[in-house]
Amino acid sequence: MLVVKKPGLQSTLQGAPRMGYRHLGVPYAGPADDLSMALANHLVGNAGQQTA
Amino acid sequence: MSARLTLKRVADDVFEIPVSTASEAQALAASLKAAGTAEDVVAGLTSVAVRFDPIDTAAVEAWLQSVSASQAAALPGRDIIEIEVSYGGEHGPDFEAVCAQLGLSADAFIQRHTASDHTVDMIGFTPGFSYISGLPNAWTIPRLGTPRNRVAAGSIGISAGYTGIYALAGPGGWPLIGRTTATLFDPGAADPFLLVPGQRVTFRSA
Repeated sequence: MLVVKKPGLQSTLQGAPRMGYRHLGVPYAGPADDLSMALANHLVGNAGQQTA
Repeated sequence: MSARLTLKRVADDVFEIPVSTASEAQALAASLKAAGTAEDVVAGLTSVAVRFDPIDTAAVEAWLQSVSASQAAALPGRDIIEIEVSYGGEHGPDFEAVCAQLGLSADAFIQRHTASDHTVDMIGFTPGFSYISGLPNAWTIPRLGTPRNRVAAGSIGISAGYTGIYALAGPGGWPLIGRTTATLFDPGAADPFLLVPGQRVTFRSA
């Protein structure tokens, strides 16, 4: 379980970008820095782009 | 569509391909989607945008030109969808003003709006927002001077010669003429949005 003890300005949970839906008007979204998120996931032993 | 495509590089990883009409854009987009692995293929009103992996752009260009030479994929035949609309009232707060701008009675507006087929030309702005052609040419209603912070999902507006439908709640600047209770967005469905480019629709007064 994740407990948010003190959120900052615009704290959000971000999953991997949703690719392939732009033709329906859906932007990719996801983390601003997906390389760092992938690295963070790797460091804690998560496979792939887990929500962070 | 056998002529060579014009490829306009609008970003490191995006080509824009100009075409003449929305239906031509949809046919080309369908061909490209069926034929390859572009990350995104988006049909617009007079262009198709293709997002690709720029690691080998020359290969992408060759691929795009090879697809253009093939037969344009026919758009899958879809039955016409009837959209039930509550015109005016609290769901269409700008309905009276729009009728006044057009010099039409409410009944005359509804009669004309429900009289013929319309076509989804493009999706954009927000997820599932549909730009639907088929209005009389004279119906050129400007956007609101001040957009609303939030309009309800299912809200229907007209502006710039299009009927627009908000699939999701969100900000909006189109004069609102009514609302539909149709399920426009179903996140659990394989095709999450009811309306997609090329879909023909009719409107019916609720």
